[in-house]
Amino acid sequence: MRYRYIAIRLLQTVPVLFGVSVVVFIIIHSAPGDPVVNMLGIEATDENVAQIRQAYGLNDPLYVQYANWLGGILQGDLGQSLTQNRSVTALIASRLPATLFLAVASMLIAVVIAIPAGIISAVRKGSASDYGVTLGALTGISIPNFWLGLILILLFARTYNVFPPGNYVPPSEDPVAAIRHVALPAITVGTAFAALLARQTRSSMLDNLNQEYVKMAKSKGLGSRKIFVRHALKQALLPVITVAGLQFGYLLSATVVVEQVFAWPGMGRLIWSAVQQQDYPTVQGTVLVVATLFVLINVIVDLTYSYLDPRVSAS
Amino acid sequence: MTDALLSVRDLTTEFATPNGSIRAIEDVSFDVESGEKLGIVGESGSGKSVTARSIMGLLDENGRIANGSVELGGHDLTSLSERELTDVRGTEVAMIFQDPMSSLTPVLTVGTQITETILEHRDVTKAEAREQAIDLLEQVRIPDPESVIDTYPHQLSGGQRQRVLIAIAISCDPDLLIADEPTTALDVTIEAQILDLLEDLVSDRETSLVQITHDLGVVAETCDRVAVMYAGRVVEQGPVSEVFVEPRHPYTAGLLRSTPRIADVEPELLAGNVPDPGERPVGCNFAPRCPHSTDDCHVDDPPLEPAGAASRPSAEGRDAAPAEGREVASGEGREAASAEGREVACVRTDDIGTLEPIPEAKREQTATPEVGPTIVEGERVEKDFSSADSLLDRLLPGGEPPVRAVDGVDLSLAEGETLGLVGESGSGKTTLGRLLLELTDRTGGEIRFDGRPLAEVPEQELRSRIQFVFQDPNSSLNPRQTVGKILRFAIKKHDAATDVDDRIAELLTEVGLDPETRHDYPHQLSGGQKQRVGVARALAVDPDVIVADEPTSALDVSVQGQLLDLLDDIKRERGLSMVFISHDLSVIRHIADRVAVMYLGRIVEVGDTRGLFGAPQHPYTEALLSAVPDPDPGAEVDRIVLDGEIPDPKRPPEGCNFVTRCPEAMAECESHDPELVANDDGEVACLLHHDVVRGESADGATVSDGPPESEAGDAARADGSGDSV
Amino acid sequence: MSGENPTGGSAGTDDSAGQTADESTKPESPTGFRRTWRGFRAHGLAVAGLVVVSVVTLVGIFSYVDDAFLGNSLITSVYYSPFAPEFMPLQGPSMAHPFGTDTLGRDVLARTIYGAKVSIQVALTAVLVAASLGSPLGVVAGYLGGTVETVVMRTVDVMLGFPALVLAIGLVAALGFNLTNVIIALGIVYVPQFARIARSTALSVSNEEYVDAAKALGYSTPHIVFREVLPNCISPLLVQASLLMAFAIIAEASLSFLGLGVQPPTPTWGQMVSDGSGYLTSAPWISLFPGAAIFVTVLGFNLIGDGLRDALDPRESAERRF
Repeated sequence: MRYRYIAIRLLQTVPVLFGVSVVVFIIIHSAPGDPVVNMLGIEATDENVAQIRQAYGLNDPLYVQYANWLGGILQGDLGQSLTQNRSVTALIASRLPATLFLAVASMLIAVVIAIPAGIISAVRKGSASDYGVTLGALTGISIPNFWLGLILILLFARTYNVFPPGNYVPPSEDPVAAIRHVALPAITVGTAFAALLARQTRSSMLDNLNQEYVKMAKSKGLGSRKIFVRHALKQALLPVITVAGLQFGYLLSATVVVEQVFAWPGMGRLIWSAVQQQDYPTVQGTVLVVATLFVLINVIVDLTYSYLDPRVSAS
Repeated sequence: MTDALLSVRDLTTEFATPNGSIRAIEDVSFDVESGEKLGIVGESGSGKSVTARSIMGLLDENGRIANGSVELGGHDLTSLSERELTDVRGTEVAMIFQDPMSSLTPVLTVGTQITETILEHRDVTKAEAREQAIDLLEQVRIPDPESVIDTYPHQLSGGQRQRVLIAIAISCDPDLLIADEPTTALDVTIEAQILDLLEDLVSDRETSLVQITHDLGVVAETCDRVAVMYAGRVVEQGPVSEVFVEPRHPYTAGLLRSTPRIADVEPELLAGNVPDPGERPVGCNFAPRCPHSTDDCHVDDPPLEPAGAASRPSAEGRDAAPAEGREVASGEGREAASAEGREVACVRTDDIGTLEPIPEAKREQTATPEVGPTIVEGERVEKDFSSADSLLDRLLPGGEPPVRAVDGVDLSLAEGETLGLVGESGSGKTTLGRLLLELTDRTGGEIRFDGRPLAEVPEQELRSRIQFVFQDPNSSLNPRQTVGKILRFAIKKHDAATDVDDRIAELLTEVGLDPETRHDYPHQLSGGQKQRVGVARALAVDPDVIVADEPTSALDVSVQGQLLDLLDDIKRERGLSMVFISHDLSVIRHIADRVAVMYLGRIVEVGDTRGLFGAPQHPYTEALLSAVPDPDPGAEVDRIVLDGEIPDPKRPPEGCNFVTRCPEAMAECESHDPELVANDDGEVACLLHHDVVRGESADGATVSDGPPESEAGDAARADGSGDSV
Repeated sequence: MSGENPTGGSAGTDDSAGQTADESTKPESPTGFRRTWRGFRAHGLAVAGLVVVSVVTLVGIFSYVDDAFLGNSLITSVYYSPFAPEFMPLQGPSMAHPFGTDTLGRDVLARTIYGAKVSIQVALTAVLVAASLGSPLGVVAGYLGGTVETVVMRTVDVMLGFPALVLAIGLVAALGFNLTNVIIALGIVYVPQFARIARSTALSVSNEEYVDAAKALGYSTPHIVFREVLPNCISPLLVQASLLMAFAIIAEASLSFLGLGVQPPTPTWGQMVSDGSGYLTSAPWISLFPGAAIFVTVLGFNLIGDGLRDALDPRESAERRF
């Protein structure tokens, strides 16, 4: 049954990814104004415009353009940037590692802080530490990340020189420097994520502690530590995994903004500059790649879940 | 009372609620001798489960023991710390929980959950614990324990899970087992298995048992002594053989008399409702409902005192009484109790004396009404539920087969009759009921209403002539509409001309509610009242046929009786036809004129109620009837306990559906699927009875030579359904 | 069981019999609104959130009216103009300018007050639009099932395949950077959020027996959807709406911060934070105060959302029942 479940889950992503590509294409092609004119500036002659249109296939009907674009994607070709003399694929390839590094670092920070905090909060419900965690989490989800980033820069980079204010150093070049440089942006991105995870952990832990099977475990004469660890924790962390996957989109959204604050040369800045410059092929390509990444992460999370929860694959 | 294993004294438990503190149980006292089986019986709100959880120290966060003591084997459990309690739980006292579905941790294997208990309390290695666990699974009669030990709870059926819970409970040889409604969530044939198992385990191990239940029959069949609880207090206790035969407390008598029985007596009504914990009256809690109450009853809570022949000792006398050491009639020679071991909490008990447990009224002989022409008829009705939840799931090979909920059923309902549809869960009875109204689309077969196929009956006509009464009072009414609004929609939908307000008042009066109830929202009503509104809604369109799906199963015995009587009265007065669906044979016995028994999507037997209950033909019907616990402790228990579980309806067995559990199964049952064939006593789908088919048709005659070919069976069936009504 | 539990959670069929001593108090309120309010009020923080949100909303309404109809006369009559560069730039907080002045010498407090307008307007409209499109869509899909459900839910799946802000950026990039387009973009982004929740709620509500009763009585599909199903889906949608308001305020501020939202000279909080980001060490107040405004407002909506969830969620109240 498990293989069948995996097969279904994988096959289900195909139409979703297809849909994502259609949506991206439609959005970008519904843009008002002529990208070519924008690109060439107002002095462009009509011949120039026509030439470029021809070169980029912009005179073809939309579905042909879509088919060409999709055909290209399947071969790894996302088109040509209008403003930089490079392929979109190459642009993304140069930016993706920075974003992934930031995302993974944020996630690690969040998980390490949030899950223990959520557990403590649930187990000591009503205590001072519970209130602390609850309020902290509330603050975390409410604080705008770009503002938090600026405050962190002000405090830890400008006032006290603890961490550098961003600037990506590839971990392959200098791991220590890479970690120092990623610290502030990762804390910025990870804060809201940690807050969400802590809230989820707390509520799902509380949920479990109220279940009949926890009473049952108690009636067997198990100590409270064993009850928490065996009968509540594993079960409680399952929904946390799902939430973590769903909120990965939140993480990706956050990087777009936070990269701007920390001058982080990732996908977010790429999207931002492409939007500013109306470089539509680049916008199209980067949005598609980010969305695909998100969809795939959710598949992985689902499959992990099915592996961990004995009930999923059997039903 | 020093020789008692468990001694509960004046136990009072409070719960903090947003509306202040509420006492769930008050001054509960009882003893359990070692090796004794005590039943604690009561309706909802009686506090019986709270009592169990107070003993175990398993109250919810907002609950606390306000007063009293729980002495087990010499120490007071209420004074132990949580850490000290862990040494007592599991080894000295263990609990079997009610709901096998939610009491096992889903992410741990069955083996882990058993062995962790053993490892906690015993000095054994993991391998030894595992061996013991397999042994325990064997003792609770789970087939193939070596492989079951590594499964997860969701892979097991409800009955098997309950066995696992029992295995865990007995794993460290506790002196006392507390079983909190261990069979309530189970089907009656599975219940019989579990009760049997519990009984054997308890007597083999000489364990004491406290059995908490709402079912008087379970107590009568499995317990030595009983404590009857009402509104948070024990009102009467003593040996089952005496309490259930000569009850002293009016509530005990009322409960016994209002319980529907398989036997040929008409249950009596017990008027009123159990008061809520916050609204218990001054004085005796039962006084407002008691036919014997006087002004004396409204002064103080009556103490639980020995019910002597004439003597009425003081409260202290209760403890002094056993010293007299009078012999007890119940045969458990070693137990020494108060006067006949009986106590009752009633100030008037000396005036009232003993009461009659069985209602006087014999079942009315006019039960079978004049039966009219057939109004609803189903022929070869089928319903499959696909388990695939997406297109992909359907297209990919290797998916689950569909659930065949209703598998080629014929049935007919005559005007003015009540047809009882009885079966266990998964038998398809509810689905069949829903198919009659097209609440669910059928997969195959034909249903005729008034002689016309449903497809030809105009929607408007169908909806105003056949109605449904639902099961769950908490789900059957829209919580955001007042009673008046709920009825208003229904009335206007079918007769826009009438004065709606008058009709609402009429309907509410007809179902025994105050017309002012119209302003209430469902959450302001009790369960019984909600069900009455559900009936009123169905009546709002003046239907000819009502399909009632377990309308009383969520209600307490006394409330259940009131609703059944209401339905019966309405049916008679309006000349309705009714299909009454229930898993409860005693309820069916009470209300139905004719009964159809379902098993795994098939009707296995149809017959008039008296005949079917008196002389069941199908082995399944027979087993089902024998499995119902009888509240009469003197009744001869000759239970047929069916083996195994109801097969997965996705993969029904070859041949007869019942073959896997049938005590009478023959070789040909595995290959031949018996049709429903008529005979003198009704219709039955069993090869055992097919040779007695009346030889009216040539096909019927050939049957006697052996199992019928399917065509032959078809013809016989067609014959059968012709004269079976 | 003879009634539901005191706190009004659906207790399901009662096999637990004596465990719940039921119906201890009949709530005096018929609709459950007052009951909800009581539960909500029990959360002191939720009430604080309500106060904050009310204040910000009033400020937003004030600046909207003042800006659209009165030519900023109201604010200039009692304070400074949010637009005119009248003062020394980069002045720190003082009695005259509690929040200081910005790079062009405009009063930061006046601009922060005006910034409430865009935040509230965008968040409120976008969430309203999304709720009124997404909820019925989800409810219909959940109730009808079949092809309708497949089409709606697959579309929702696709839309949820985008990280919210990335989709919003794509949309404003295509539509153009102005107030209406930001509202449209966020509205589109949040439609599937409502549809998803509405559908799963409607699915479970559709299994309630009163929906079957409505079918048995022959009520029309619109009647069943809008009178029986939808009203019983409101609670989770309300919670979702207040939480999405919080998200929408952050999303709008993020777009503004990136320069992809409402354009100057209209003051927005995100844009103000961005303006000050170059003067972090010399004039931190330019960024700090509008950022704090965002934080407090979002906190307010989150508090309301949490309060509502606890007041409406039967699981939470299950802890309190006995």
